[in-house]
Amino acid sequence: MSDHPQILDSERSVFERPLTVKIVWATLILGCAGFAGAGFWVKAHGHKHEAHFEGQGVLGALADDFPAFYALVGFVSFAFIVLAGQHLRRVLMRPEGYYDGAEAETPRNPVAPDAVEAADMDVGPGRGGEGGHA
Amino acid sequence: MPDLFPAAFSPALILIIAGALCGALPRAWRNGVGLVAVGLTMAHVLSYGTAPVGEALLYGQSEAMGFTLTAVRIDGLSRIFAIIFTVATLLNVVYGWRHATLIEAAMGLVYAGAAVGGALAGDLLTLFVYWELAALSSVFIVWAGGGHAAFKAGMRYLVVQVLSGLLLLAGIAVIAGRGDGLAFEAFSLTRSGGGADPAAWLILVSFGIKAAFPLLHTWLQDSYPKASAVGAVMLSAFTTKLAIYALARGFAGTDILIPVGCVMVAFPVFFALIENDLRKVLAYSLNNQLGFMVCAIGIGTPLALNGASAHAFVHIIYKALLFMGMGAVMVRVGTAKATELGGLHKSMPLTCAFTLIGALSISAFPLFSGFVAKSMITDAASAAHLLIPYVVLLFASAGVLEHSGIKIPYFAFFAHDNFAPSLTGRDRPREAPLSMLAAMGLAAFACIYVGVRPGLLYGLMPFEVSYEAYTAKHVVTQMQLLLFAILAFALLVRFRLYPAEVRAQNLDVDWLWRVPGRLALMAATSATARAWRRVWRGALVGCGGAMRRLYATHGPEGGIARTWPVGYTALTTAVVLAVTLLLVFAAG
Repeated sequence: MSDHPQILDSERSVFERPLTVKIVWATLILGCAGFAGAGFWVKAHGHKHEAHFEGQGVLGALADDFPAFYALVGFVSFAFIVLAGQHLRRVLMRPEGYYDGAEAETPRNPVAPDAVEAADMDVGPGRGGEGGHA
Repeated sequence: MPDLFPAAFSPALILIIAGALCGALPRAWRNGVGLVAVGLTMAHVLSYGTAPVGEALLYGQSEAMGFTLTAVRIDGLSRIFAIIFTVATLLNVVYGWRHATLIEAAMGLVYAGAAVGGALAGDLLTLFVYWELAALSSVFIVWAGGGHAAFKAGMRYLVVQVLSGLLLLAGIAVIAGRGDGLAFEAFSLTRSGGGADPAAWLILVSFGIKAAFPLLHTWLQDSYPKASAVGAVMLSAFTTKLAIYALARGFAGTDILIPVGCVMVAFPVFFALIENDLRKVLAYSLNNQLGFMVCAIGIGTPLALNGASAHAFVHIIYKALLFMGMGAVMVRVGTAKATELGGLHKSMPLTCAFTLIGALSISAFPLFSGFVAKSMITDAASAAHLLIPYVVLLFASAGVLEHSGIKIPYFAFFAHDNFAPSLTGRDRPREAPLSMLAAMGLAAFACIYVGVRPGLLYGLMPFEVSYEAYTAKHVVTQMQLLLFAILAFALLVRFRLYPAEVRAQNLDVDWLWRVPGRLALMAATSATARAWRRVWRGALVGCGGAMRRLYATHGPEGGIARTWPVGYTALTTAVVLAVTLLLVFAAG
């Protein structure tokens, strides 16, 4: 769940250990298989089958009758959004500060002047404070 | 319970008066006044009881200019919105305990009061007053974000919000001109004799602006991310949900809202994917969530309207929670940009856990609040046999998981560890301040409580409909959708097909008025100035010439002003007499 190769081993959390990642993968695959199977079980043993989209083509028939329809929609929708959506950048992406200049894009930390605590990154060198608080 | 206030006294006024008071109080007093005001408002709202929609209890009625105004209208629909607006105010007060500026604390309460007042308004004129008060008070919260960009975004926000108010006023004027009453009831876009009803259309567009309809939406993504950490949480709750309430009240069952809602749920998904600023991602996500509600209002069945109300209720809490999580990150790190974040779960574990609860709720995982509300809307679509809207809502559910369920927590708290001391040479950012954690904890508790015990929420529904969220079919189908979408995410990341975050400004339709629109306005301004200069110069030259000519003839040296001899006068008189005689002779 993290892929920064340069950090020290001691700085890795439990979520970044290979075993955890394997467990997450296994849980995910088992979960997918389990709920896809459960879809068929519900269709076979459900109390009643309601057809809401009769006569509305293949999609309607799938929605009504295919027990893994939602798995299909989830997977295809997500993949489509990510694979197709990223191409929007070719049309829509502009440099930061396109509208308002650099001032608009500087990191801000607008806490109240009388706030009890100042932000951690307000002072001192380091990447978090670069550029924004000069 | 004994009544604390007269029934005619709108609960909104408690918050508004408290907000005005806060403008002159130090922080500790402001917080106390805020808490007391929230408590009194909730007690006052609850003291009214409830009534079925259509048989509302009306209080605070008065006559003005021949119209009946109603300050407080209590029924199932207005009550649930008044309650959730008050709950949101509580979260705002706690979250801003140590970080809200004076302006934010004061205007936050006024803004919340305007939302409560709008939800309870029984007539259009009262609604208009609160509608505009919400606009005017909230712009200060945008401006409180600080910097010139926030100021300019606030100005754009104000123009759009006031435009919405003007359209509402125009609609009211048309209705008043017809001699109809100003009661705020359901509208029809067509008149009984056929043809469009201009008043209803004006009011629909007015509501649509504040509900962030497609093409009218950009004020939201423009302004909310520029507010402060506390301000964005305040902004996320009220304006858009007041518009959703107004649509549910005025336009339930209006067919056009179904395609509008479908576009609203779908398009922000793509913009959220490529956006780097995680608070702007949340703004797009907010837009997408409003689409679910608008679609449900368009379907208009009791189940759908219950779904819209329930979704607004839970959405206000989990969206506030997500904005709070990103606000806490901003306070500690100074930015909410995905490219600058990552690995924060190691030093901000509670913020991470609370944000994950918000993410699970908005993604509608079973046992979290989104599940018990969103399933009502999708069920309403399928019960109405609306296949395309149904599939679009499912598609958008996968989209919600992508941007709010995964992207927000993943890039902020996991992904690249950008804060490892070995990389930065400094300590990791600390956990969020206690007050922020307390507010996030409250919101997270509400998300889980409503998810596990939906009876509380269903008891507030505006319509009597028996609904069971936790059926085997609901749970299995929703888990299929979510787990397979997560599988797609895991595979895309595994095969490096998930796009990396990029520091960039992504254009939206507001580019049209911010670039070519601005250029056209500037060109029109300079052309008008040039034309005016020409007209002015021409007028000056013309007047000067006329004066000179007049002076030449009538001035002291002019021909008219010279002294004339008596002989000329006698001759002129004789000529005039002769002409007169000849004319009289000719006439005779």
